[in-house]
Amino acid sequence: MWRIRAIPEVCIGCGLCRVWCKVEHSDSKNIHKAFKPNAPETISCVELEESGCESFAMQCRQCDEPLCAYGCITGAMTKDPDTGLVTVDKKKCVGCWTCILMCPNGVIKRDERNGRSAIKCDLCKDRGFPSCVEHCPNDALVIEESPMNPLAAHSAPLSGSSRGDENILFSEEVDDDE
Amino acid sequence: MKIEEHQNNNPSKPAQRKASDFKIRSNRLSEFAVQRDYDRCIKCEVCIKQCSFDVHYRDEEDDLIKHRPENCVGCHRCAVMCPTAAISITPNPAQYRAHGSWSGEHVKDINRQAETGGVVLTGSGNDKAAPVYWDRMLINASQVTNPSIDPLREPMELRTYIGAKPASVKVKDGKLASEMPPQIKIQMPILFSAISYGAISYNVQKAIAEAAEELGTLYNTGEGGLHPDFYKYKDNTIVQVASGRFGVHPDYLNAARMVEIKIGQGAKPGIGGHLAGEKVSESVSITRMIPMGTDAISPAPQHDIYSIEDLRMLIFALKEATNYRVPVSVKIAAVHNAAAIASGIVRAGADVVAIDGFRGGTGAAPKAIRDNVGLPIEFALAAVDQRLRDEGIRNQVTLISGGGIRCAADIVKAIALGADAVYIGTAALIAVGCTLCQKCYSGKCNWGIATQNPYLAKRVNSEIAKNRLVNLVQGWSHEIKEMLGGMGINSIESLKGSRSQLRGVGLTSEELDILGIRPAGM
Amino acid sequence: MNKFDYLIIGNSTAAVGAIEAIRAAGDNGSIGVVAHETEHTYSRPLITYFMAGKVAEENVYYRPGNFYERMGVECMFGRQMKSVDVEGRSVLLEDGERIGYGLLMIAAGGSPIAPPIPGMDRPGVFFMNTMDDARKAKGWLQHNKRAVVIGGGLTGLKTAEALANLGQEVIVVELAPRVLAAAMDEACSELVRQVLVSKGIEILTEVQVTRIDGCDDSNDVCFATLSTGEVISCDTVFMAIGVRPRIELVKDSGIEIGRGILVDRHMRTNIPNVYASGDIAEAFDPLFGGQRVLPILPNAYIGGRVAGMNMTGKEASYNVGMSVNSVNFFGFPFMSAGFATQEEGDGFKVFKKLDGTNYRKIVTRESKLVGMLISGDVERAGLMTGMMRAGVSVEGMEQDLLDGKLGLICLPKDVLEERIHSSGRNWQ
Repeated sequence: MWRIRAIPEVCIGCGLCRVWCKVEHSDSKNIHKAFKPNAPETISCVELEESGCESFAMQCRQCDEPLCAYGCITGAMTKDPDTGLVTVDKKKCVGCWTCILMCPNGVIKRDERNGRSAIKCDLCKDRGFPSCVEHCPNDALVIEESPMNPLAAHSAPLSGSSRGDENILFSEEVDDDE
Repeated sequence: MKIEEHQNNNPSKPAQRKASDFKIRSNRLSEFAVQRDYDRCIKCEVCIKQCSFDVHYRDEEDDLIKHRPENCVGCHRCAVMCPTAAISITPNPAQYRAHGSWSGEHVKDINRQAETGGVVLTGSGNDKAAPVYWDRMLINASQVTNPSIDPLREPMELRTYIGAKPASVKVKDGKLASEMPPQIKIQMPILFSAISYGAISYNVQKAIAEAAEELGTLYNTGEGGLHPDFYKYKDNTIVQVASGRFGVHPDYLNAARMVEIKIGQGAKPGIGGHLAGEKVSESVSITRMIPMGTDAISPAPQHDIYSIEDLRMLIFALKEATNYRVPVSVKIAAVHNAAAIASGIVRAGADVVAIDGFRGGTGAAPKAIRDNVGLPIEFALAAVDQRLRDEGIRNQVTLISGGGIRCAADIVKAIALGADAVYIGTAALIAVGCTLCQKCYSGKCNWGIATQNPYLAKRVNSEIAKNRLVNLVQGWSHEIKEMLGGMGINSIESLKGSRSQLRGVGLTSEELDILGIRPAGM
Repeated sequence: MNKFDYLIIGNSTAAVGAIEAIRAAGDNGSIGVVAHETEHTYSRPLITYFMAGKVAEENVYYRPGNFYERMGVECMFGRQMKSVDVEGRSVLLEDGERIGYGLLMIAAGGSPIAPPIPGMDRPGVFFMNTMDDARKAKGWLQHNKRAVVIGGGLTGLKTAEALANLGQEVIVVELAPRVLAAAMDEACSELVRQVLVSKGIEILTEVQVTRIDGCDDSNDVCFATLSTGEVISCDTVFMAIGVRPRIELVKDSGIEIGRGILVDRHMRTNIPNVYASGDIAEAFDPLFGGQRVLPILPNAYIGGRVAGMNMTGKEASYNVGMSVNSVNFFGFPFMSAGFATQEEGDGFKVFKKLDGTNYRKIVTRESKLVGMLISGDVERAGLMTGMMRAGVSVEGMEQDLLDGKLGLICLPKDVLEERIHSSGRNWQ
């Protein structure tokens, strides 16, 4: 599975990650159209954290134990057992924001452009590769590839998952969540 | 923006400003114009955050990003970072009245000095249009009579040995029987020249050291000492002993593959150096062994060297200190009588003479010196090589030429003129991001190179920078091999001093004589 | 006798958490689920949305329709557990069937409190606890227009919101001096009240409904009499006073009970092979420093997951189960966590900031964040619950927390490193 990781030592705080995230999550996916004065508000799923000279960008870590999904009252937030991606089903989400309250990294946003729904980093799955990582001018955002932790599979496959009846098998020792 | 905070870390300079500091008395025209295409600007503020000179700002009332062109130094950081390419930085179209004698630059400098009463400081290398003789020399290639070599198919040797060579060697049973002076094998005749930690950031020096390690060549600490973290690159390190003796101690000397005595620097021959206290961070102070926040002043002369004999004493002191294990180099600026000086240096026992031409870079130099003192490296190199040959001592020394090497062809020409290897400094910094805005001395380098401000220094990711440096040197090595192959030569050794491979264009007969080359067509 | 490796009583959030954990752990043991409701697992907080027509029926379901098949679960729905025999490892159902188990998890939730008000049994009086309640009320409301909601707690107010969205006239009757008295402090309650009142909901406080009467010609609800003596006409009454754990199910079984079923940090009861979680359990609250019943959905899922893990032999601890609530009324958000109602004193320090309708309050104890309450601008509120779980000192940061200026970057270096590098498994 993929995770985006920040490297604060080389983050220059330019904010381009935010810009390109907004572009990717706009209707047009075009930087000029996304930021046009009358365009609908754009939302960045990246938080740029800054304090003095320190900075880093934070987006969803696709947690093994996703508190947002555990707290989700509707079942809209799930962790995909195949890709490890924590996704929100906009059709199911009612915008109660429990996920926002649960996420210890504060990286889930409100999207009230079209109904109320939570919005979060989806690793630009339509695009194939996260735009923020691609556009980071100093490699301060990198893709971390790690094997899927079987215990982390939040077994709530929505339609589309290929996983059938057989359960996730694993042999490796997995830490408990203590 | 936190930049201010970090620049006021100098306890000797109170942050309090005088009332007169707030009076604007400048008569100067802005050097650059900032053009913002408002149709493209998305107000993302990247330009604001990226400019340490405070050019861009958000006008809350008009909800627009605006600019103060008078602050712009022309580094192009904003233009490069702008995600919509909405910014272009151009020379200010408003120029002083044209005058054949009084250029705009003269007017501007006079105004600046009339305001401040000080020396006009600058950074980078000489930007005057003095002739670049590399561009007036052309390289030969083989046709028909001696076949050219395809370096992709046949072996091609760029390996170079740094160190004095004996006049003769004894061979016994097919093996070298004489004892050789210390030699350093490098994979290509390209070394990274002296740039101190202090002048440049930690990340840049780290990148250069790692690139040297990966390439199998050497980098030079400059006169800033060796940061504790960089001892691990010791097999690729040249340490400098300069007039300020910053950071010099036995471990430092013994960590190196070569020790270099710095007499002079091409950008500012005859004067010392001055690293402003603002740049002397805790880490720089430890490395240089000086108090934090104090100005690091390198005297103009080495105070223990007033003659070739004194130089000889220092050379041998260093050889003693390093147990004759490493070559000792002496670096001089290219000046009018460089040939005689070089001869003296060789006779004083140096294993390497490095000559730095007047287009060499610098972190800070008085503009008057940078632009007017010294010699083009091409002449100095040719003259030194010729003089040492005439005296029969050329073999006793490795000649490294630096100061304005811009491309692979410059290297080929330098070696044909008599150099064993070249130093590259400015080219390396350009590979890391430098755009030659010449504000190195300000400590506000927007590219994170010539700064100790942690906010700015982070802009160089040493991993990326290292890869770029490695790519550059590898690219040049490929080009050198192509050119060697074209000449029908399969080893860089065979090109050394082979001036017959060069022809001059548009040069006077005196210039041709000094360069020791024939005019094109002959 | 039918026997399951894992028998789960209840089919709501905690049950789903346990089932998913068991299967994620790779355990193929048989799972049986007994539930008195006949519905597929659904989201209880969504039933008011369903009643208001804001959420379609298919979206009320908490998991996809094929969830139980996929998980290999045998469902015994519409059947009530009567008692449990911990010695014989079996459960007796009301219909007389006895079901054996290897491990038992009781996640039967709570039942609504029914106050002894005369007229409670009249047509037109509803609870708001199950999908069935919501479905029945939804039909009833189609030809009625004036409702009284008894209880100004979360369920009561969400019911009132749903009713207002349906165009009903709504009167909320609350015994306490203010609404949401258990979850919020005075200032925040007032903001909630203002939101509700602005949408036409009438709120009566410090008053009770004492009887519910029908009309002359009908048994249906017609009037409600208040403790003040006032009589209000209405055609629907919702009872939303609260929920209590259904501990009667395990009475005299040997399973220890307090206000709920007492469980340890592994969600295990005093009987080694019996677990409990969800609204029925009385589990550890790390901030509270002891056990209590916290009937909220996130804790039900996490508790269920912890129970499921431990049942399969993967050790997991329940350490993050503190009180958290995120709710909105007509789109205006409110969030609370930990000691949200705490006032200054008893070792607590309280910082408040009210700016129009944006309210922020933080509560610290020994310089650690232990409670918060936010309305309006709830951006990144999770940072604070994260700080509460991590137990980091927030000394000197109080004002920034109130101003919403704090980010992860303010966390101590080791915690921050963990946040940036970890795979998100340890939230203590």
